[in-house]
Amino acid sequence: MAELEKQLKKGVISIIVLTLIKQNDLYGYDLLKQMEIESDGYFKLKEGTVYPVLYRLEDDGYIESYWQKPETDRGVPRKYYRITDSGKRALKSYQDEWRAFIGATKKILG
Amino acid sequence: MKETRFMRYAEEVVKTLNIKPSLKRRIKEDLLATLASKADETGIDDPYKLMGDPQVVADEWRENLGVPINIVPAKPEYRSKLEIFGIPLVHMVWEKNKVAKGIIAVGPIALGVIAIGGIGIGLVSLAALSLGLIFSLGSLSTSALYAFGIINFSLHLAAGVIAISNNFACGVIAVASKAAIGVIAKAPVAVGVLAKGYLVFYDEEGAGTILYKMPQHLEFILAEVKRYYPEAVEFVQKVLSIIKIS
Repeated sequence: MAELEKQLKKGVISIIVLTLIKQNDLYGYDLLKQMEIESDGYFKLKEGTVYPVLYRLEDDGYIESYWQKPETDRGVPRKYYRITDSGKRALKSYQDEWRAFIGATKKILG
Repeated sequence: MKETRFMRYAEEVVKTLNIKPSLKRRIKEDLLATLASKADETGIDDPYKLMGDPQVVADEWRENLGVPINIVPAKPEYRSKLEIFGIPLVHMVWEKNKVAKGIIAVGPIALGVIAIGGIGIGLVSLAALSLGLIFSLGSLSTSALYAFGIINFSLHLAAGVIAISNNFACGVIAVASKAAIGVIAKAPVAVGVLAKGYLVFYDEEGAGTILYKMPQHLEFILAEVKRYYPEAVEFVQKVLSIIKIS
């Protein structure tokens, strides 16, 4: 069961990451927290799971990163991610695919 | 320093990942940023408490990056647990250009009481290039007391193809300051096919002050050596006994 849950989560991380970054530019740790909070703890994922997704999305040109210092002087610079136009198009395509997947799965499962 | 601890932790995570250096840098950068954010939020600055066992973290990255497990090769060396004055009893090294240091040292470069290898330096050395304070054996061998091999230099006794010594030498070519025995021998006491010195026993050609053509009885040779160069008697007797001059 744990393996199925893991695989299901992995399958949707890209869509979730793109969706959250589309709403706001986010840095890695912030993204992890957002995923956890907005899913009521269901998507409590580790860095080693989420960052490789960020790398793939960045390498594919769907998101881009930039460094920014926090407003408080003592904070360390953070690497923020923002969605690109190509990423927005990819997200639209992912969402269509997701809806098709959910629809077809519901139809079978009832 | 918190940053140093974070850096060490990040290094610990990426070191077992079999990935390109550029990706390692990228991961380290993100680990450091995450650790800094977590530390800011929690006030905890121990990276192990913030992120957990680095090996577990590395495994998570490895799985999601789809990289194979980095099999760390066995250490190309053996170091005995038993140490004497902090020096391992045995240190064996197989890696090129590495130095083995131990009471007994074995390696391409060996440094020890007993040194065995390509280049050996020790009290006793057995190596291609061998430097032994007491005993040395090698292609090129140097010792304060005893040197044996192909080309040998010694302060006391050298024996081999080419033997050069401050005291006694024995070899195909033997040169010494006291006594030399060989095919070609040059020393104050010289015994050889071709011999040159002060007291000379030669077979084909000799040059010196006191010359004797071989063969001669061992007793006569020893008596003459004792008369002119008594400190060389023992050496001459031992060597000539071995090569059966009677």
